[in-house]
This record gives sequence, C-alpha cells and structure tokens, in this order.
Amino acid sequence: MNLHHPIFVREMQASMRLARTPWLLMILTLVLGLGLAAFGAMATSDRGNPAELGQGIFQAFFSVGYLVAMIFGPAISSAMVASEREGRTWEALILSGLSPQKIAKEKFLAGLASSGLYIIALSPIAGLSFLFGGVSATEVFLGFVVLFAVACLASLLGTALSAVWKQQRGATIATLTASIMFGGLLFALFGFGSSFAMHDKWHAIPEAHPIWLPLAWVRAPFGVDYVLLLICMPIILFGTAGWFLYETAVAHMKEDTDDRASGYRRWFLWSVPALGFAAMCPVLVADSDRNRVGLAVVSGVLFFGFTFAALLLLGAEPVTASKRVLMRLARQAGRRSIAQPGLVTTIAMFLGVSLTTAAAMMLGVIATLGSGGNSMRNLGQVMSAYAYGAAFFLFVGGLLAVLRARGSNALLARLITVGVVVAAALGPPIFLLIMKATTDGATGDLVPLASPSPLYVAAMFDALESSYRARDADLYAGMLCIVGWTTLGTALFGFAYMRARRLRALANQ
Amino acid sequence: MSAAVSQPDVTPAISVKNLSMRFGGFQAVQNLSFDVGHGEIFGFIGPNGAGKTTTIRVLSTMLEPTAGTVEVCGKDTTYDPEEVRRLIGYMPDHAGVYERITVGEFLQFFAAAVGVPKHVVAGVIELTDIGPLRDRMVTSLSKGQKQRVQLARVLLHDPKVLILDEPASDLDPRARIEMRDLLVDLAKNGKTVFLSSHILTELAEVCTQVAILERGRLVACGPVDAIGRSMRNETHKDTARLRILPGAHDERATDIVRATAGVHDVTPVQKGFLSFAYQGGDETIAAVVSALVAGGVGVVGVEPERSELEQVFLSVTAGEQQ
Ligand SMILES: Nc1ncnc2c1ncn2[C@@H]1O[C@H](COP(=O)(O)OP(=O)(O)O)[C@@H](O)[C@H]1O
Ligand SMILES: [Mg+2]
Repeated sequence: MNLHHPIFVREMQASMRLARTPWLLMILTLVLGLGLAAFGAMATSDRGNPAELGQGIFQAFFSVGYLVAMIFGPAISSAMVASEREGRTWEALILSGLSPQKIAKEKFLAGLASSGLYIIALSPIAGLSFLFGGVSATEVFLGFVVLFAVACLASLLGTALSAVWKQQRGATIATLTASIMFGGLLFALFGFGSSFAMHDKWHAIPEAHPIWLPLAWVRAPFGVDYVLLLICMPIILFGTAGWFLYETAVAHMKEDTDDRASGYRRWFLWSVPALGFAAMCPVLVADSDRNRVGLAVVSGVLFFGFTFAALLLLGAEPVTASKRVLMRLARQAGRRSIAQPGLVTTIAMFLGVSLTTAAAMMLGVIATLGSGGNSMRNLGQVMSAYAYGAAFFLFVGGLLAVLRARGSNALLARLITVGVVVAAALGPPIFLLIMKATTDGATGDLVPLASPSPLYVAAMFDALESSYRARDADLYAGMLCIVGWTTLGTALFGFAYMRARRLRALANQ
Repeated sequence: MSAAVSQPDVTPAISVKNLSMRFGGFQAVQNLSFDVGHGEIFGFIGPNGAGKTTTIRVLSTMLEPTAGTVEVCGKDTTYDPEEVRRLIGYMPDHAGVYERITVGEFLQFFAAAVGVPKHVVAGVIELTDIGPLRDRMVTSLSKGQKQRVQLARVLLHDPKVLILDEPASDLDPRARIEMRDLLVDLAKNGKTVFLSSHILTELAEVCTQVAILERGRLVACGPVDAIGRSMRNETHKDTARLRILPGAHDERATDIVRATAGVHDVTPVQKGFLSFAYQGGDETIAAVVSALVAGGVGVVGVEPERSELEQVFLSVTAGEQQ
C-alpha cells in the first residue's frame, strides 16, 4: 500500500468494491445523455438555430453537472469521518500518528475522486454542445474547470460536516440539506442572479444563463475590471470558503485537549482582508459615484455581517487553553504568532483585523470618489456607514468577550450576544414608531430616538441628502452613538481583559 | 541497563499518580494511583461505569487529566503525547473494522499510517496466528477473529505497552481462551499488558496484578492472591461445595464439618451435596476433608463455589450493579 496516502488508497479500495458504483454511473450517463438529446431534438424542431441549441445544451449540461457535483460529492464524503467514529475505527486512526490535517486532506481527496468519477463519466456528453456550435471548446473546458472547483467545495463541505457530526446518518442528512440549500442559493444568486449584472457590464455574456463565468472568461475584454470581477472575486470567494470548510474538518477532528481553533484563527486572519478586498471589487469598477456609494454600503453591510457571524462562531473561545497546548506554546515561545489561543487574544485579533480591513475599505472607497458637487455628501455617507458599523462591531466583540470571561458557556454567550444585537438594532426604531404614532408627529424631531440602532445609518444618509439645516441634529445624534458604542465596546473589552488575567493568575497558583 | 532491573526505582511501564477526571460536574475518576511494572499482565477491573475507559483514555493520551499525572515509560501523557503514542498500542473497547477491505489490506493500511515497512505485517500476522484469514474481508470475521486482527494491528509499531479496553467482552469461551493464551505469549515476549474488564473469570489465571475500581475509586490493588489473602483476613469468606457418598452419614457429616475450625454457615446435606462457608483458605478445606474421612464419611469431591478473583471482586464491589 502507498505509504504516503494510506487513507486515500484504502477509501479507493473500498469504493471499487462497492457494487452500486458502476450501475449508478451508467444510469446517470444514460439518463443525462438521452435527456439532452431529447432537449436538442425538441429545440431544433422549434427554432432550428443550432448555435442557440449549443448554448442551451451547454447551460443544461453544466447545470446538471453542478447538481451532480453538489449532491454526489457531499453525499460520498459526508460519511467519511463520521463512519470512522461510528464504526469505532477513529481512535486507532488518530493514535496512529496521522495528523488531523492529513486525514482531512486525504478524506477530501477520496471524496473528490469519487465525485470526479461521475463528472468524467458525464464529460463526453458535454461534447454535444460544441458540436452544435454557439460555444467554443475553450468555453467547454473552462466549464469543467468551474465544475471541478464546485466539486472541490462540495467534497470539502461533506468532509467538514462529516467531522462535525458524530453519526454517519446525521452527517449525511446535514450535508445533503446544506449542499442543496447552499448549492441552490449560490446557483440562484451567483449563477442566475449575477448573470444579469454581468450582461449589463459585458453584452457578450448572455443574460439569464447561470453558467456565465466560463463564457465571461473567454468573451469579456481583458482589463482591470476583468481581473477584479472575473479573477480576483471568484478566486477569493472559492478560496476562503474552501479553506473555512477544511479548517472546520480539522478542528472537529482534533481532540478536546488540543488547540482546536488554531486553524480557524489563521483562516480568519487571512480571509478577512481577502474578503474585504473581494467586497471592494464591485465598488472599484462602479461607473458613477452614486453607484459607488450604494455598492460601498452594500459591501460594508456584507462585510460586517460576515465578521459578525465569524466572531460569534469562532470567537467564543475559553479563557485559556489546555495544559498540553500551553506547554506546546511555551516550547515554541521563540516564534509567537498573533493567532494565539485564549479568549482575549482571539477576540482582540478578530477586532483588530476586522476594523483595520474596514478602515482600508473605507479609505479605498473615499480615494476613488470623484470631486464633483456631491462629493461632500458622498464622503459623509461612506464615512458614517463604516464608522457606525465599526463602532457597533467593537461593542459586539467586547460583549462576547465579557460574557465568556464571566463564565457563560459558548452557546449561552452566543445567544445573549445575538439577543442584544437584535434588541439594539430593532428596539430603537420600534420605539421611534410608537412615539410617532402616539404623539401624532406633533412634537419636534423624533428621529434621533432611533440613533442607538445601527439601522440608523439610513437616517444619517437622509440627513446628508437633505439641505434642510434642522436635519443636522439627526446627524449629531448618530455621531454621538458612534462614540457611545466605541466607548462601551472598549470598556467591555477592557473588563474582559482584566477578568481573564485574574482567572489565569488563579489557575497558575 | 540490564543491571537496573533489580533496582527498585526503575521507571515503571505505567505510573498513575493522583489521577482525577471530571466531566462538568461529574467526577468519573478520583485520586487514582498505581504502578504497572514491565512485563506484567495488569487487570483493571470494575463494574460498568466505574471509570475504566476514562482512565484508559487518559493513559492513551486521548484525554487530559483534570488533576494528577500519568506516565508511560517515564513519558508524561499530557506533555509528551506523541512519544507516548509511539510507546503504546491501544485497542479501544468495541473497536471496529473497515468495510470492503481484507485483513491483509487492513493491516497494510495501519502499517502505512504508523509508518512501518510492509514486511512488518507478515510478522504480526504470524505472531497472532491469523495467516489463514489474510484474504478474508474483515467484516466477515467472527468476533474472536476480529479481536485477533485488532491485536495484530496494535502490535504493528512494536509498542512496549499494550492497553486493551475490554478485550474479552463479547467473546465466546473458546475465543476467550485463545485470547488469554495470546496475551500470555505477548507478555513472555516482553510486552506489558494493561487490560480492563468487568467480567472476571476469564482473567483470573493470566493477570499478575489487578486493580479494582469502583465508582471512580481504587478499592484494591496488587497481586491476585495478595488481595485475596487480605480480604480473607478481614471479612471475606469463601464458600465450597462438598459431595459425599450417599448413605446414612448425612447427619454425622454435617456435624463434623460444622465442628471444623474456620467453618461457618453449613447448609445440611441434600442429595449428597453439602455447602459451607469458611475462612483460612485451602488449609481449612484440607482439615474438613481429613475430619470427614476420619469420621468414616466417603468424600467424593470438593469444589470452591467461585473463583478466587471473582469472590474478591464481588466482595469489594458489593452492592454494585453489573
Ligand atoms: N465524555 C464524558 N462526558 C461525561 N461523562 C462521561 C464521559 N465519559 C465517561 N463519562 C462517565 O464517566 C463514567 C465512567 O465511564 P467509563 O470510564 O466509560 O466506565 P467503564 O469503562 O468503567 O464502564 C460513566 O458514568 C460515564 O457516563
Ligand atoms: Mg468501558
């Protein structure tokens, strides 16, 4: 047996002996081939334009390929770690000295190889599409490149959830649910949805055709926009998603006594700047300042939404690590990284990286804004949106740190944090509406009542649009809240820091 | 090095000091201390839920103790897990096998995983005597055969210490005897064997030392006969069953037995059988037999009602559900 990839080899040996594999392959190929042939026959008799038919088959084939990759890939790999746990081979495997990283990689590769088999079996059918014309061989090839990337993600998803769930059945159900939901969502959003925007930008890309990326690579003119939208964005999105899934698998394969979150921390450290950059890509290529501001706000919301989710999921660390981990850290004291374990360092790193990236994003937008008549308004809107987001995010980080430092378990700390965030976001606007209704709008300006909510940014935008001096009060209220959330967040974090230090001192006694 | 064997301070194969393990609010193991010498077959015994597996998971580096230290050949399981993993061969309870893979492939796989050359596989196959099974699917094997394959797997990296969690549970009597013989062979080959069990009979003959665990605490530890002796000196009683020639001697036999020193609770003769509790070990039995023979009662046989170890186990874990 191959000494370098034992798990991969064993999985292959086992799957070759699975009687259903060749049958499934044959049935799938037959059904898809006949289906596409029928589709072709019907379409030709209707319109008779072979180029359009080629396009249609191309879209249909790769959509089905996407479906196959999204279902077979995860279904196969979802059993891979869970079955070792359920079948009680896991302890032997992990004690054999193979690292969780190595196990994750080989399980992923084994899953990919199995779903790759399905894709390869289907590949001759793709030839149909460029037989009819309408798409080039290069486009078909690039279609496979995208399909391969999707298959990688799908297999990683299965591997990750397989490590999270201890039971094989649970893992498979969770994986299929997740892959059908996310797969569907991504297909609708990134495939179908964004094809309209892409068509607007580059008319050579057909509208409403979900498999547009391989076509765009060939048809769009090369330039800065091409590099940002068609190369940087897809690579960053695929890369960070795949890396996250990989680290999820590794973290859940490590024992409780290990530093489970170290991979997550490294991932966060690199992904946040990368995703910040990806979020900036559409902003940078926007064709007017009006659009640029709009896109910058959307990007900011997505960015903070992402960091918030990551903070909740990954930041709720215990105050200190296990003895084994501390010992390991002490041994390698020479080369400390900022991705250290422990609650306070983790949250400080999360906040630092997120806020620095947000600041860079804001500066990037500001630098590309024109100096026309509305430049002050644009500037004010971008700054207020990012400043409010950052201030509120700082508060959330501080709150989570305090809750964990005070001994709440991770789940409770997360729930309380979400509760507080929802209350802070929705409470003030609801209060404003009630006040408006009860006072019939008679008494002065009530809008500042809603200022503690991050949604208040919309009111600040309004105030900046308006030339009416009285609206300045709205703006000041917003600024005051930005200062308020920043102060509160810093204070909470400081409190968590002191508390964690005391706890560590106690533990060391 | 060989001179060190006779010194008392030689590093034990396993050394457990004040080990405690807590899961949330539940104290699974409390203040456990014992040593296992090289070449011993050490029985770790206790009813279900006593904390055997928990202790074993600490020994095999899968858990970090809440308090206390565990060392294997002088290496700390918390701080040197990689070293310890090379020293031990751990067979979990109810260890599983892979589907659609042969015995040979199964062992080749683990040989590659632990990083030993292919030819080692042939060696462990011979040692555990599973040559004829080599090309069978692992899933098609009987429980006893699977257990042998697991032992072969554990031996691949030539560990000094074997840690076996309930190796004989689920085995039929014949497979149990084979397993027992295999363990004795391994100990003769210089391995230290640490095994756990909640059933005792199958281990009594092979264990050189036992530790008895109850609700996370150690209640007895030492060589089997020493534990037995210390128990007898206190409250422990053995029981025996006596078979005599049927006849008119029943009354007299009961009286003679009752009159022997060290005998209590004599149940009168029924259909040629008489049972009694006694203290003082085999000497008492011998005294009973010679008194009966002197009194003209024909003794056909005497048998202790339970094995020694099982008695010890029952008396120290009295009141526990199995
Ligand atoms: N990870 C865990 N979390 C909580 N309780 C546990 C855990 N592992 C074991 N226990 C508890 O510890 C006790 C001892 O279990 P175990 O060591 O498996 O006993 P044994 O192997 O002697 O039957 C049991 O009551 C069990 O429920
Ligand atoms: Mg057990």
